[in-house]
Amino acid sequence: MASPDALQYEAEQFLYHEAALIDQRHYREWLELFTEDAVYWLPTEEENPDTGHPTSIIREDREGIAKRIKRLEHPVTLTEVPPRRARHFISNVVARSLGETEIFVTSNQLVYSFRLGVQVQYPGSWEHTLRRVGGQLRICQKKVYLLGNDRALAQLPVL
Amino acid sequence: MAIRTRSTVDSLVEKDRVRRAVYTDPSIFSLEMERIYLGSWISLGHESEVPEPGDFKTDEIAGRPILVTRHNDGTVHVLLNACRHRGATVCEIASGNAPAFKCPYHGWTYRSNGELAIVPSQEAFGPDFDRNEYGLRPLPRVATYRGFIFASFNPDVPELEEHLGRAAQYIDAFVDRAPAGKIQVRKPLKTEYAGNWKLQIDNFADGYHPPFTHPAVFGGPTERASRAPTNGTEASRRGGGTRSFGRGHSFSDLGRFRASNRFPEELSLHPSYVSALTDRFGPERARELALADTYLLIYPNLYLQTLLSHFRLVKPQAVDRTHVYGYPCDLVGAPDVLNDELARVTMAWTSPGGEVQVDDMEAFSRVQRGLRADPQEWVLFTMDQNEHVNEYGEVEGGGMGDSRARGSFREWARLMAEPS
Ligand code: FES
Ligand SMILES: [Fe+2]
Repeated sequence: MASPDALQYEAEQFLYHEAALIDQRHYREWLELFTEDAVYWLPTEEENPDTGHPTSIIREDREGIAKRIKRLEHPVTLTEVPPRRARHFISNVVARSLGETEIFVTSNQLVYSFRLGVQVQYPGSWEHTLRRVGGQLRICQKKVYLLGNDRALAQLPVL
Repeated sequence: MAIRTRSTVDSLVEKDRVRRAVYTDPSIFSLEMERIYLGSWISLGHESEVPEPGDFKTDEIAGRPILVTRHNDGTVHVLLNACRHRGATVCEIASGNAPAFKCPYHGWTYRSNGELAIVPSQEAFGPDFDRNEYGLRPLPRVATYRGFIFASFNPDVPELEEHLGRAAQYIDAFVDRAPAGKIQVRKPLKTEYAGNWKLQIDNFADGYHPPFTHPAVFGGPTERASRAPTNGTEASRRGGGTRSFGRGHSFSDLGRFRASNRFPEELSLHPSYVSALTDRFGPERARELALADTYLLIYPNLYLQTLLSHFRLVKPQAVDRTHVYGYPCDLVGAPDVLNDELARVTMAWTSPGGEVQVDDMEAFSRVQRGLRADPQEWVLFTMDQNEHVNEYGEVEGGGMGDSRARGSFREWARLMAEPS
């Protein structure tokens, strides 16, 4: 098992890499970061909504993420022409091992999104569950708790 | 622009076109709030949002804060969310359960039916002070239909059932699709767009835009040949088409043409679901309900999408800013696999992180910007003029839905004209 420093470094580098793929709109490479059983989840509540029948801003499996990317890359998707430009800023990263193969990483992220003369900020708490698959880290769960996720929102950038 | 007479309204709205100022002029928006949102019946969602005694939600109509509660005796109350002392809101939580509402400012405390229970240092208000006179004020009119809550600030609106008229039978169908005869809403998905509220209302009836606005989801114009009937006579013969009921309400029925494109038929016709419906309604009606692909607008702010079992509420915020809430509705008694998939598709359609409403919102903001180019220019609702009036006085049309939009603007003009 990696030392705490190495684990922290590896987790941070992974988050930077993932954010860069999204910000550069390399969505297919981003998709490759997810495991086959991955869940990508943006709840509408501030606390963990694991119980009951939560309504989610996004809750999808790998197939759903692939479909999302197909829409984003479609040549005449209204919300992407002209394209949205975004930058992720990442801080407060805390990584801890979950057994032999998984790492649980929490971070604060702030996404600046710019399109058609309007800039919007999306701050929140990100939770990644990463799994080592064939020597590479992959995302098996990604949860994003936006501040104000229970408010009425305009179209979201990829977070 | 001051609208004070019938003739000013007539200069803004003709039978199939509307001045662009109707979407961009703040003074027209203010008058809409007064005459339509404070003047007619407004939908406040569904009582399954407050299923248990003490449950509440906060809401608003035309910017006026409102509290919807379920009292101990099971009754639903719609109250002004404003303390009778100095006016503070007594609750700022979206939804929850509370035994009472304590005003944060000086502690006046209200029961869930609005009664004022506690006034700290009440003796200082003098011997004549009567708590009974200072309960939270209920809206003048409150009524429910199949669990849908409606309220009005106008004491003179007709009875709710008269207001809904024959449109009510499609609310029945929406609820009757649940084997237990009732729906249970999930938490809403909330979106905001930079455009006038009527852009969403027009869009609910707009069957023209999907291949252009949503090409990635529904296929582009060449991939998709519309097989909907193109005029009212043909539509009524084939059982599809649109209908305007009066009072702005309208619906489209696409059931026989496209239902299976929108939701997997093997789930709509899940055997245990269909057999539960058959027990109540017989096989023919059961199948009709299971595959009902109807789109109902209850003017001015409620839209029910039957096949996907969700409804939406439109909440105007300003002349160029609007919120839309989408509520997934579980069909109580239906298999979990069906309800979960209905909710999943509803999330994909109505969420700010989804794939359908986001494109519509983009179109709305582009329209709102473009409308400013010339407020005197017209917005066109001139398609599909081949309509006829049926035996109930309803206008039947076909095609893309402009017949419905024309019906909504007849109600707009009626409500906006100076009451004579
Ligand atoms: S304003 Fe509510 S108690 Fe004074
Ligand atoms: Fe649309």
